[in-house]
Amino acid sequence: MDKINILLVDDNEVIRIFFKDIFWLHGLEGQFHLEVAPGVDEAWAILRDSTKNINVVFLDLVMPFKKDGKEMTTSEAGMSILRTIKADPNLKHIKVIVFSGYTDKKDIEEAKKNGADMYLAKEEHLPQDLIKIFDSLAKQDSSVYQYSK
Amino acid sequence: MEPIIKLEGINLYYDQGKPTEVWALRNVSLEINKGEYCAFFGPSGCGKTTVLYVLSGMESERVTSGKVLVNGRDIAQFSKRELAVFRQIGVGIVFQQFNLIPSISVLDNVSLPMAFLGISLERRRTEGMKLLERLNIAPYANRLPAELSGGQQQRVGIARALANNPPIIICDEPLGNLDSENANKVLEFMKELNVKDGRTIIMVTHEAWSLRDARKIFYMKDGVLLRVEEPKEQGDIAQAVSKLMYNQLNPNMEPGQVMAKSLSNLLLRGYSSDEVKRFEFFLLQRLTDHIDGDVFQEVLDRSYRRGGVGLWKGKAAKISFIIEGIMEQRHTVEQVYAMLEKNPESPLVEEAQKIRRWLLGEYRGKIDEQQQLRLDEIITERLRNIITAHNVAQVLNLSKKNFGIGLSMRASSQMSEKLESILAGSDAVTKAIKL
Repeated sequence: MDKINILLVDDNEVIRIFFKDIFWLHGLEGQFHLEVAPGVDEAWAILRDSTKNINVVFLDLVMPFKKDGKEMTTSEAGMSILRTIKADPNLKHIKVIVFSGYTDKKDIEEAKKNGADMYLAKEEHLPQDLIKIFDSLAKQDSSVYQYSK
Repeated sequence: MEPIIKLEGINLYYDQGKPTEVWALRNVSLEINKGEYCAFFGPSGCGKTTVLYVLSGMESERVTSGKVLVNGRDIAQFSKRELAVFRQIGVGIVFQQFNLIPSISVLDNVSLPMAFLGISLERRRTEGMKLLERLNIAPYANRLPAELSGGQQQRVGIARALANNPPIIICDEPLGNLDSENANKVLEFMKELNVKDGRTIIMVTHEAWSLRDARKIFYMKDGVLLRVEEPKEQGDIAQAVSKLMYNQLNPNMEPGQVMAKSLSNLLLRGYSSDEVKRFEFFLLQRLTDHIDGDVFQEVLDRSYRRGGVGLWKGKAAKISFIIEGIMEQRHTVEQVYAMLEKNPESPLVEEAQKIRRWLLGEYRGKIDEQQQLRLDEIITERLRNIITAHNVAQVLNLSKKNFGIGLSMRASSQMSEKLESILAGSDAVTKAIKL
């Protein structure tokens, strides 16, 4: 069976190592191919690369980005990636799972409105929880997505 | 399928380049498959604990050559950050000394690894309680570690090791400070982690009887991996290890020496390696009939400082009885091994705790955790004949501020007398405390 291609976008190196390690340590590398992007620009380079064929994105919200020439670090970084993916006919098939350190109802609602398929709070997800989610993805079990069908 | 762990030509030095340099691991290569239950076996100083620390990413700086492959990636080449994450979620370690943090509750001890992952307090507590329930110690969640027995503390250690769901569990002599009942419980649990959870279990031990569930045994000596055995059934292990493997580890030893070596580890659990070595020496003298039974028992009882082994009377009598049984051919060495494997001797720490609880049984006053620990120390020193009965009474009477227990003159001398009655080897008392 084809591997599932996952992209993790997060500016925190420790999160990137942690995520990658879960695949490595629990022997999931046979079912998944993991790409990692430390920021907005690198994320787009991978998303627009058709050879990478990303199926699922785990997306951090608060990251540095440039707006009107100014450097900012807000949740707009992740939200704009989310919106753009869902608005693009070539990309909207990609499932987007927000993986954020923030748990405000406000953020969750906004993510849902912008088309997120799921919202995961980092502080609520131990390795064993992420493994369960990866298992569902491998089984192509779409009921794992809270917000989309 | 690729092995979960593979060591390729590992060499490790302590204090490299200095006069104290030690070549601790010599060209060690081995493979461990996913879901295997394996053990490293060998005498003190053979390198087995060092291998464990290499596998858990704690000695990467001292590895001078070779690869440490975990699921195909060489952790010896990891950056500090990568090692930190690996140690958090890749391996769970269970220690002989438990290594719990004394000033925080049992629940907080268990949840600590999750805190390092940034998990919320509520979630940590929920998961922590689940783990405590699994280990049957949920009622102790809010107690401090010192309030728990050794067996319970070890269970806290195991629960903590499971917190971040590591696929590999490493145990460094986990049974050394546990009595027979608790040691067996821990072994049962390790088996459950292996069979039910599918985790890879790696145990380090110098006690042959604890190998019974291992299906791959790495024999080490002087930093070298001598041999790998894959026993098919439990019976194979008792047979393989008891005599044959001791011969393999010490090919130039006489049968009497082999017997003395293997018996001494079984009989003197929880004692220092010096005390065990001295016991081994006298045991050999007795087994080869160079000294008779009375002299043997006397020397067991004599204090370590005066050249003896420093066991308390009750224990000296018990061991003497077992050995006389072998000399008079009332039972064979194999029978003794079998008996000790099923019912390992109580380690010193557990004996002291049991005695302490019995001593405090009728005491009406209040004794806090610190006093309890101090009392355990005093009892242990008296058991080893390092201090006299009079010293015990003195320290019991000394104020808490001066590191005593703060008992009245009368209570101190009564408690000291009670302790002496045990040491005199009174059967009735020993039975009552189940020593």
